[in-house]
Amino acid sequence: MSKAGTSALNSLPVFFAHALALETEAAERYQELADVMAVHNNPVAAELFHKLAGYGHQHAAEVRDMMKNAEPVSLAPWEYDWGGVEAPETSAMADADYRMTSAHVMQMALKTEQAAHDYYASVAAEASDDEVRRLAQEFAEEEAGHVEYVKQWIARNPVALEELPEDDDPAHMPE
Amino acid sequence: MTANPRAAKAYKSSLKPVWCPGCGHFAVLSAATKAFAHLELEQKDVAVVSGIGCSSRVPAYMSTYGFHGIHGRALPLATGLKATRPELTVVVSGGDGDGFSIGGNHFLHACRRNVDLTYIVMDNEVYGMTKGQASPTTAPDWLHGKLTPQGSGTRPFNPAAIALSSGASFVARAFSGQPNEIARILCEAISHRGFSFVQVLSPCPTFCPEQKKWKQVVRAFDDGPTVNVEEALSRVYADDGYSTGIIYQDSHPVWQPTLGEEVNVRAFEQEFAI
Repeated sequence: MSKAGTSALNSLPVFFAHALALETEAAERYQELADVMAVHNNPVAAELFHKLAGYGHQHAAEVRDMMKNAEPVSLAPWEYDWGGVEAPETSAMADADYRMTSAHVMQMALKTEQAAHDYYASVAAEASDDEVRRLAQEFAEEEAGHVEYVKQWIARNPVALEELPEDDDPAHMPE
Repeated sequence: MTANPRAAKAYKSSLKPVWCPGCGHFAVLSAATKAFAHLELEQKDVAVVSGIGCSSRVPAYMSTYGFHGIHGRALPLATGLKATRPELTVVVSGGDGDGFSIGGNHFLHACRRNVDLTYIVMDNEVYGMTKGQASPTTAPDWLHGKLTPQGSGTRPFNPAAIALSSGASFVARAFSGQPNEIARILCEAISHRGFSFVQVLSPCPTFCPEQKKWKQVVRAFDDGPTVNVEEALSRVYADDGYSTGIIYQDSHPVWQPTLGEEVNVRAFEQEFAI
Protein backbone atom coordinates (compact mmCIF):
# COMPACT_ATOMS: atom_id res chain seq x y z
CA MET A 1 0.00 0.00 0.00
CA SER A 2 1.32 3.41 -0.87
CA LYS A 3 1.63 5.81 1.98
CA ALA A 4 -1.13 8.23 2.82
CA GLY A 5 -0.64 11.70 1.46
CA THR A 6 0.20 13.28 4.77
CA SER A 7 0.16 16.82 3.43
CA ALA A 8 -3.64 16.63 3.39
CA LEU A 9 -3.69 15.04 6.81
CA ASN A 10 -1.81 17.71 8.68
CA SER A 11 -5.06 19.26 9.77
CA LEU A 12 -7.09 17.71 12.57
CA PRO A 13 -10.50 18.29 10.90
CA VAL A 14 -9.26 16.64 7.69
CA PHE A 15 -7.84 13.75 9.69
CA PHE A 16 -11.18 13.28 11.47
CA ALA A 17 -13.02 13.39 8.12
CA HIS A 18 -10.75 10.57 6.92
CA ALA A 19 -11.20 8.53 10.11
CA LEU A 20 -14.98 8.86 9.96
CA ALA A 21 -15.12 7.94 6.27
CA LEU A 22 -12.79 4.99 6.87
CA GLU A 23 -15.07 3.50 9.55
CA THR A 24 -18.36 4.43 7.87
CA GLU A 25 -17.40 3.03 4.49
CA ALA A 26 -16.06 -0.16 6.07
CA ALA A 27 -19.32 -0.63 7.98
CA GLU A 28 -21.48 0.09 4.94
CA ARG A 29 -19.54 -2.36 2.77
CA TYR A 30 -19.76 -5.05 5.46
CA GLN A 31 -23.50 -4.46 5.62
CA GLU A 32 -23.76 -4.63 1.83
CA LEU A 33 -21.89 -7.94 1.94
CA ALA A 34 -24.14 -9.20 4.75
CA ASP A 35 -27.22 -8.34 2.72
CA VAL A 36 -25.99 -9.95 -0.48
CA MET A 37 -24.92 -13.11 1.36
CA ALA A 38 -28.39 -13.31 2.90
CA VAL A 39 -29.94 -12.91 -0.55
CA HIS A 40 -27.70 -15.73 -1.82
CA ASN A 41 -28.64 -18.07 1.00
CA ASN A 42 -25.35 -17.96 2.86
CA PRO A 43 -26.56 -17.19 6.40
CA VAL A 44 -23.21 -17.96 8.06
CA ALA A 45 -21.30 -15.38 6.03
CA ALA A 46 -24.25 -12.97 6.27
CA GLU A 47 -24.24 -13.10 10.06
CA LEU A 48 -20.48 -12.59 10.30
CA PHE A 49 -20.53 -9.65 7.89
CA HIS A 50 -23.44 -8.20 9.83
CA LYS A 51 -21.43 -8.42 13.06
CA LEU A 52 -18.44 -6.77 11.40
CA ALA A 53 -20.74 -4.01 10.15
CA GLY A 54 -21.92 -3.48 13.70
CA TYR A 55 -18.36 -3.04 14.95
CA GLY A 56 -17.72 -0.62 12.11
CA HIS A 57 -20.77 1.49 12.99
CA GLN A 58 -19.70 1.45 16.63
CA HIS A 59 -16.22 2.71 15.72
CA ALA A 60 -17.71 5.34 13.44
CA ALA A 61 -19.87 6.56 16.35
CA GLU A 62 -16.76 6.78 18.54
CA VAL A 63 -14.97 8.86 15.92
CA ARG A 64 -18.04 11.06 15.52
CA ASP A 65 -18.05 11.61 19.26
CA MET A 66 -14.37 12.54 19.29
CA MET A 67 -14.78 15.04 16.47
CA LYS A 68 -17.88 16.78 17.74
CA ASN A 69 -15.95 19.93 18.64
CA ALA A 70 -13.84 19.92 15.49
CA GLU A 71 -14.59 22.10 12.49
CA PRO A 72 -16.74 20.02 10.09
CA VAL A 73 -15.05 19.19 6.82
CA SER A 74 -16.60 17.46 3.87
CA LEU A 75 -14.53 16.07 1.03
CA ALA A 76 -15.57 14.78 -2.35
CA PRO A 77 -15.18 10.98 -2.57
CA TRP A 78 -12.10 11.34 -4.77
CA GLU A 79 -10.48 13.93 -2.50
CA TYR A 80 -9.78 11.47 0.30
CA ASP A 81 -6.13 10.67 0.49
CA TRP A 82 -6.20 6.91 0.92
CA GLY A 83 -3.20 5.89 -1.11
CA GLY A 84 -5.51 3.37 -2.80
CA VAL A 85 -8.78 3.16 -4.71
CA GLU A 86 -10.99 3.01 -1.62
CA ALA A 87 -10.76 3.62 2.12
CA PRO A 88 -8.29 1.06 3.51
CA GLU A 89 -10.74 -0.75 5.78
CA THR A 90 -13.29 -1.23 3.01
CA SER A 91 -13.49 -4.81 1.77
CA ALA A 92 -13.23 -5.20 -1.99
CA MET A 93 -16.58 -6.39 -3.32
CA ALA A 94 -14.65 -8.12 -6.10
CA ASP A 95 -13.17 -10.50 -3.49
CA ALA A 96 -16.58 -11.74 -2.43
CA ASP A 97 -18.13 -15.00 -3.53
CA TYR A 98 -21.54 -16.42 -2.65
CA ARG A 99 -19.85 -19.62 -1.40
CA MET A 100 -17.63 -17.86 1.15
CA THR A 101 -17.20 -19.64 4.46
CA SER A 102 -16.64 -17.93 7.81
CA ALA A 103 -12.91 -18.49 7.26
CA HIS A 104 -13.01 -16.55 3.99
CA VAL A 105 -14.93 -13.76 5.69
CA MET A 106 -12.38 -13.48 8.45
CA GLN A 107 -9.49 -13.54 5.97
CA MET A 108 -11.17 -10.64 4.21
CA ALA A 109 -11.52 -8.85 7.56
CA LEU A 110 -7.86 -9.51 8.36
CA LYS A 111 -6.79 -7.92 5.10
CA THR A 112 -8.80 -4.75 5.70
CA GLU A 113 -7.95 -4.41 9.41
CA GLN A 114 -4.28 -4.73 8.51
CA ALA A 115 -4.70 -2.11 5.79
CA ALA A 116 -6.38 0.25 8.28
CA HIS A 117 -3.52 -0.27 10.72
CA ASP A 118 -0.93 0.42 8.02
CA TYR A 119 -2.78 3.53 6.96
CA TYR A 120 -2.89 5.04 10.45
CA ALA A 121 0.71 3.98 11.11
CA SER A 122 1.86 5.81 7.98
CA VAL A 123 -0.03 8.95 9.02
CA ALA A 124 1.44 8.72 12.52
CA ALA A 125 4.91 8.38 11.07
CA GLU A 126 4.67 11.31 8.70
CA ALA A 127 2.15 13.87 9.93
CA SER A 128 3.65 17.13 11.17
CA ASP A 129 0.67 18.11 13.33
CA ASP A 130 1.23 16.81 16.87
CA GLU A 131 -2.43 16.06 17.58
CA VAL A 132 -2.90 14.28 14.26
CA ARG A 133 0.21 12.22 14.94
CA ARG A 134 -0.95 11.31 18.44
CA LEU A 135 -4.44 10.32 17.33
CA ALA A 136 -3.16 8.39 14.31
CA GLN A 137 -0.86 6.45 16.62
CA GLU A 138 -3.78 5.73 18.96
CA PHE A 139 -5.96 4.58 16.07
CA ALA A 140 -3.12 2.45 14.67
CA GLU A 141 -2.81 0.69 18.03
CA GLU A 142 -6.54 0.11 18.11
CA GLU A 143 -6.44 -1.37 14.60
CA ALA A 144 -3.52 -3.56 15.67
CA GLY A 145 -5.81 -4.91 18.39
CA HIS A 146 -8.43 -5.75 15.77
CA VAL A 147 -5.80 -7.48 13.63
CA GLU A 148 -4.76 -9.56 16.63
CA TYR A 149 -8.38 -10.44 17.44
CA VAL A 150 -9.04 -11.61 13.88
CA LYS A 151 -5.78 -13.59 13.82
CA GLN A 152 -6.78 -15.35 17.04
CA TRP A 153 -10.19 -16.17 15.59
CA ILE A 154 -8.53 -17.68 12.52
CA ALA A 155 -6.10 -19.66 14.69
CA ARG A 156 -9.01 -21.08 16.70
CA ASN A 157 -10.90 -22.04 13.53
CA PRO A 158 -8.29 -23.35 11.12
CA VAL A 159 -9.80 -24.37 7.79
CA ALA A 160 -8.51 -24.66 4.26
CA LEU A 161 -8.97 -21.45 2.33
CA GLU A 162 -7.75 -22.56 -1.05
CA GLU A 163 -11.04 -23.95 -2.25
CA LEU A 164 -14.56 -22.62 -2.10
CA PRO A 165 -17.24 -25.20 -1.28
CA GLU A 166 -18.75 -27.07 -4.22
CA ASP A 167 -22.16 -25.93 -5.43
CA ASP A 168 -24.16 -28.68 -7.12
CA ASP A 169 -26.51 -26.15 -8.68
CA PRO A 170 -24.39 -23.17 -9.70
CA ALA A 171 -25.86 -20.17 -11.46
CA HIS A 172 -23.98 -20.92 -14.66
CA MET A 173 -25.21 -24.52 -14.89
CA PRO A 174 -26.92 -25.18 -18.26
CA GLU A 175 -30.69 -25.35 -17.97
CA MET B 1 -13.98 22.10 0.70
CA THR B 2 -17.43 22.76 2.01
CA ALA B 3 -19.48 20.85 4.52
CA ASN B 4 -21.99 18.58 2.82
CA PRO B 5 -24.58 17.16 5.18
CA ARG B 6 -26.12 14.84 2.59
CA ALA B 7 -25.06 11.21 2.92
CA ALA B 8 -24.75 8.95 -0.11
CA LYS B 9 -26.67 6.30 1.79
CA ALA B 10 -29.77 8.49 1.69
CA TYR B 11 -30.06 7.85 -2.05
CA LYS B 12 -30.30 4.09 -1.58
CA SER B 13 -33.69 2.45 -1.18
CA SER B 14 -34.45 -0.23 1.39
CA LEU B 15 -34.51 -2.89 -1.32
CA LYS B 16 -31.37 -5.05 -1.22
CA PRO B 17 -29.58 -5.76 -4.50
CA VAL B 18 -29.85 -9.31 -5.82
CA TRP B 19 -26.63 -9.01 -7.82
CA CYS B 20 -24.07 -11.77 -7.29
CA PRO B 21 -21.44 -11.16 -4.60
CA GLY B 22 -18.40 -9.80 -6.42
CA CYS B 23 -20.47 -8.04 -9.11
CA GLY B 24 -19.07 -4.74 -10.35
CA HIS B 25 -22.52 -3.14 -10.38
CA PHE B 26 -22.39 -2.59 -6.60
CA ALA B 27 -19.58 -0.10 -7.16
CA VAL B 28 -21.57 1.79 -9.77
CA LEU B 29 -24.59 2.03 -7.47
CA SER B 30 -22.36 3.29 -4.67
CA ALA B 31 -20.58 5.76 -6.96
CA ALA B 32 -23.84 7.13 -8.33
CA THR B 33 -25.18 7.76 -4.83
CA LYS B 34 -21.91 9.44 -3.88
CA ALA B 35 -22.14 11.64 -6.96
CA PHE B 36 -25.73 12.63 -6.15
CA ALA B 37 -24.68 13.45 -2.59
CA HIS B 38 -21.70 15.48 -3.72
CA LEU B 39 -23.86 17.43 -6.16
CA GLU B 40 -26.41 17.91 -3.35
CA LEU B 41 -29.26 16.77 -5.57
CA GLU B 42 -32.68 16.37 -3.98
CA GLN B 43 -34.13 12.88 -4.42
CA LYS B 44 -37.31 14.43 -5.85
CA ASP B 45 -35.26 16.14 -8.57
CA VAL B 46 -33.57 12.98 -9.85
CA ALA B 47 -35.01 10.24 -12.05
CA VAL B 48 -33.14 7.06 -12.88
CA VAL B 49 -34.42 5.25 -15.95
CA SER B 50 -33.43 1.79 -17.13
CA GLY B 51 -34.25 -1.03 -19.51
CA ILE B 52 -33.79 -4.72 -18.75
CA GLY B 53 -30.86 -6.64 -17.36
CA CYS B 54 -28.88 -6.97 -14.14
CA SER B 55 -27.64 -3.39 -14.31
CA SER B 56 -31.11 -2.12 -15.19
CA ARG B 57 -32.23 -2.96 -11.66
CA VAL B 58 -30.53 0.19 -10.40
CA PRO B 59 -33.68 2.39 -10.19
CA ALA B 60 -35.18 -0.01 -7.65
CA TYR B 61 -32.15 0.33 -5.43
CA MET B 62 -32.36 4.11 -5.30
CA SER B 63 -34.63 6.41 -3.33
CA THR B 64 -34.95 8.82 -6.26
CA TYR B 65 -37.71 8.61 -8.85
CA GLY B 66 -37.17 5.71 -11.18
CA PHE B 67 -38.59 3.88 -14.17
CA HIS B 68 -37.64 0.27 -14.90
CA GLY B 69 -38.69 0.21 -18.54
CA ILE B 70 -38.61 -2.32 -21.32
CA HIS B 71 -35.62 -3.90 -22.98
CA GLY B 72 -33.46 -1.46 -24.91
CA ARG B 73 -35.91 1.43 -24.53
CA ALA B 74 -34.41 3.26 -21.58
CA LEU B 75 -33.05 6.10 -23.72
CA PRO B 76 -36.35 6.94 -25.49
CA LEU B 77 -38.12 6.83 -22.13
CA ALA B 78 -35.53 9.12 -20.59
CA THR B 79 -35.63 11.44 -23.61
CA GLY B 80 -39.38 11.81 -23.23
CA LEU B 81 -39.04 12.48 -19.54
CA LYS B 82 -36.33 15.09 -20.00
CA ALA B 83 -38.29 16.75 -22.82
CA THR B 84 -41.29 17.27 -20.59
CA ARG B 85 -39.55 17.76 -17.25
CA PRO B 86 -36.34 19.57 -18.15
CA GLU B 87 -35.73 20.59 -14.54
CA LEU B 88 -35.07 16.95 -13.54
CA THR B 89 -31.64 15.36 -13.48
CA VAL B 90 -32.20 12.28 -15.61
CA VAL B 91 -29.76 9.41 -15.37
CA VAL B 92 -30.08 6.29 -17.49
CA SER B 93 -28.55 3.00 -16.42
CA GLY B 94 -28.18 -0.26 -18.25
CA GLY B 95 -25.91 -2.89 -19.62
CA ASP B 96 -24.08 -3.64 -22.84
CA GLY B 97 -26.79 -5.93 -24.20
CA ASP B 98 -29.66 -3.58 -23.40
CA GLY B 99 -27.81 -0.51 -24.62
CA PHE B 100 -25.83 -1.67 -27.62
CA SER B 101 -27.91 -4.50 -29.04
CA ILE B 102 -31.62 -4.24 -28.27
CA GLY B 103 -31.30 -0.49 -27.78
CA GLY B 104 -28.42 0.08 -30.16
CA ASN B 105 -30.30 2.32 -32.53
CA HIS B 106 -31.58 4.47 -29.69
CA PHE B 107 -28.00 4.85 -28.46
CA LEU B 108 -26.87 6.30 -31.79
CA HIS B 109 -29.67 8.82 -31.92
CA ALA B 110 -29.43 9.80 -28.26
CA CYS B 111 -25.77 10.66 -28.87
CA ARG B 112 -26.67 12.59 -32.03
CA ARG B 113 -29.64 14.39 -30.48
CA ASN B 114 -27.60 15.46 -27.44
CA VAL B 115 -30.42 15.44 -24.93
CA ASP B 116 -29.24 16.49 -21.47
CA LEU B 117 -29.02 12.98 -20.01
CA THR B 118 -26.32 10.92 -18.37
CA TYR B 119 -26.14 7.37 -19.70
CA ILE B 120 -24.21 4.86 -17.59
CA VAL B 121 -23.55 1.56 -19.28
CA MET B 122 -22.25 -1.18 -16.99
CA ASP B 123 -20.33 -3.21 -19.52
CA ASN B 124 -19.54 -6.79 -18.52
CA GLU B 125 -19.47 -8.10 -22.08
CA VAL B 126 -22.21 -10.62 -21.40
CA TYR B 127 -25.95 -11.09 -20.99
CA GLY B 128 -25.86 -12.06 -17.32
CA MET B 129 -29.53 -12.09 -16.40
CA THR B 130 -30.28 -14.68 -19.09
CA LYS B 131 -27.35 -16.82 -17.93
CA GLY B 132 -24.39 -15.92 -20.04
CA GLN B 133 -24.78 -15.22 -23.74
CA ALA B 134 -22.40 -13.19 -25.91
CA SER B 135 -23.29 -9.50 -26.10
CA PRO B 136 -22.20 -6.83 -28.59
CA THR B 137 -19.03 -6.14 -26.60
CA THR B 138 -18.02 -9.80 -26.12
CA ALA B 139 -14.66 -10.81 -27.59
CA PRO B 140 -15.13 -12.98 -30.73
CA ASP B 141 -13.14 -15.84 -29.20
CA TRP B 142 -15.00 -15.98 -25.86
CA LEU B 143 -15.84 -19.67 -25.54
CA HIS B 144 -18.06 -19.77 -22.47
CA GLY B 145 -21.35 -18.70 -24.00
CA LYS B 146 -23.80 -21.56 -24.29
CA LEU B 147 -25.15 -20.26 -27.59
CA THR B 148 -21.67 -19.63 -29.00
CA PRO B 149 -19.47 -22.44 -27.67
CA GLN B 150 -16.90 -21.80 -30.41
CA GLY B 151 -17.00 -18.04 -29.95
CA SER B 152 -19.26 -15.52 -31.63
CA GLY B 153 -16.68 -14.81 -34.33
CA THR B 154 -17.94 -11.25 -34.61
CA ARG B 155 -15.99 -8.08 -33.93
CA PRO B 156 -17.00 -6.40 -30.70
CA PHE B 157 -18.77 -3.07 -30.62
CA ASN B 158 -16.53 -0.18 -29.52
CA PRO B 159 -18.88 1.88 -27.32
CA ALA B 160 -16.68 4.96 -26.95
CA ALA B 161 -15.90 5.11 -30.68
CA ILE B 162 -19.58 4.72 -31.60
CA ALA B 163 -20.58 7.42 -29.12
CA LEU B 164 -17.96 9.80 -30.50
CA SER B 165 -18.82 9.20 -34.11
CA SER B 166 -22.53 9.56 -33.35
CA GLY B 167 -22.02 13.01 -31.86
CA ALA B 168 -22.01 12.50 -28.08
CA SER B 169 -20.74 15.60 -26.33
CA PHE B 170 -19.24 13.79 -23.31
CA VAL B 171 -17.61 10.37 -23.48
CA ALA B 172 -15.85 8.63 -20.60
CA ARG B 173 -14.78 5.20 -19.47
CA ALA B 174 -14.42 4.04 -15.86
CA PHE B 175 -13.80 0.81 -13.95
CA SER B 176 -15.89 -0.65 -11.12
CA GLY B 177 -12.73 -1.41 -9.16
CA GLN B 178 -12.27 2.35 -8.71
CA PRO B 179 -15.60 3.53 -7.25
CA ASN B 180 -14.40 6.97 -6.13
CA GLU B 181 -13.09 7.65 -9.62
CA ILE B 182 -16.46 6.60 -11.04
CA ALA B 183 -18.08 9.10 -8.65
CA ARG B 184 -15.80 11.86 -9.94
CA ILE B 185 -16.57 11.04 -13.57
CA LEU B 186 -20.30 10.84 -12.84
CA CYS B 187 -20.22 14.26 -11.16
CA GLU B 188 -18.62 15.66 -14.32
CA ALA B 189 -21.05 13.78 -16.54
CA ILE B 190 -24.16 14.91 -14.65
CA SER B 191 -22.89 18.51 -14.55
CA HIS B 192 -22.21 18.43 -18.28
CA ARG B 193 -24.95 20.05 -20.34
CA GLY B 194 -25.87 17.56 -23.05
CA PHE B 195 -25.67 13.82 -23.54
CA SER B 196 -22.95 12.31 -21.36
CA PHE B 197 -22.00 8.71 -21.93
CA VAL B 198 -20.08 6.79 -19.27
CA GLN B 199 -19.02 3.23 -20.02
CA VAL B 200 -18.11 1.42 -16.81
CA LEU B 201 -16.12 -1.78 -17.11
CA SER B 202 -18.04 -3.86 -14.58
CA PRO B 203 -16.94 -7.50 -14.23
CA CYS B 204 -19.45 -10.33 -14.08
CA PRO B 205 -17.97 -12.83 -11.57
CA THR B 206 -20.49 -15.54 -12.42
CA PHE B 207 -20.38 -15.84 -16.20
CA CYS B 208 -17.03 -14.18 -16.90
CA PRO B 209 -14.82 -14.91 -13.88
CA GLU B 210 -11.81 -14.21 -16.08
CA GLN B 211 -12.76 -10.50 -15.86
CA LYS B 212 -11.31 -10.44 -12.33
CA LYS B 213 -8.02 -9.83 -14.14
CA TRP B 214 -9.26 -6.49 -15.43
CA LYS B 215 -7.99 -4.78 -12.29
CA GLN B 216 -4.46 -5.69 -13.37
CA VAL B 217 -4.75 -4.08 -16.79
CA VAL B 218 -6.95 -1.04 -16.18
CA ARG B 219 -5.05 2.26 -16.11
CA ALA B 220 -5.81 5.92 -16.72
CA PHE B 221 -5.56 7.51 -20.16
CA ASP B 222 -2.33 9.50 -20.43
CA ASP B 223 -4.21 12.65 -21.36
CA GLY B 224 -7.29 14.39 -20.06
CA PRO B 225 -10.41 15.16 -22.07
CA THR B 226 -10.06 16.67 -25.51
CA VAL B 227 -12.51 18.83 -27.46
CA ASN B 228 -11.20 17.41 -30.71
CA VAL B 229 -13.31 14.46 -31.80
CA GLU B 230 -10.70 13.14 -34.25
CA GLU B 231 -8.10 13.13 -31.51
CA ALA B 232 -10.53 11.40 -29.15
CA LEU B 233 -11.25 8.74 -31.77
CA SER B 234 -7.52 8.21 -32.33
CA ARG B 235 -7.05 7.66 -28.60
CA VAL B 236 -9.92 5.22 -28.45
CA TYR B 237 -8.77 3.23 -31.47
CA ALA B 238 -5.17 3.14 -30.22
CA ASP B 239 -6.35 1.81 -26.87
CA ASP B 240 -7.08 -1.79 -25.89
CA GLY B 241 -10.31 -0.80 -24.13
CA TYR B 242 -8.89 -0.75 -20.62
CA SER B 243 -7.85 2.90 -20.32
CA THR B 244 -10.14 5.02 -18.19
CA GLY B 245 -10.97 8.68 -17.80
CA ILE B 246 -12.95 11.38 -19.55
CA ILE B 247 -12.05 11.03 -23.20
CA TYR B 248 -13.99 13.81 -24.85
CA GLN B 249 -16.03 16.77 -23.69
CA ASP B 250 -17.30 19.65 -25.77
CA SER B 251 -20.26 21.97 -25.94
CA HIS B 252 -22.84 20.93 -28.56
CA PRO B 253 -26.35 22.30 -29.06
CA VAL B 254 -28.67 20.51 -26.65
CA TRP B 255 -31.96 19.12 -27.90
CA GLN B 256 -34.69 20.46 -25.66
CA PRO B 257 -38.13 21.11 -27.16
CA THR B 258 -39.95 24.24 -26.17
CA LEU B 259 -43.02 23.16 -24.32
CA GLY B 260 -46.18 24.43 -25.89
CA GLU B 261 -49.43 25.29 -24.22
CA GLU B 262 -51.02 22.41 -22.36
CA VAL B 263 -53.79 20.80 -24.34
CA ASN B 264 -57.25 21.67 -23.19
CA VAL B 265 -59.03 18.33 -23.26
CA ARG B 266 -62.48 19.85 -23.86
CA ALA B 267 -61.24 21.91 -26.81
CA PHE B 268 -59.48 18.84 -28.15
CA GLU B 269 -62.65 16.75 -27.90
CA GLN B 270 -64.70 19.50 -29.58
CA GLU B 271 -62.24 19.70 -32.44
CA PHE B 272 -62.65 16.01 -33.16
CA ALA B 273 -66.32 15.72 -32.27
CA ILE B 274 -68.46 14.03 -34.91
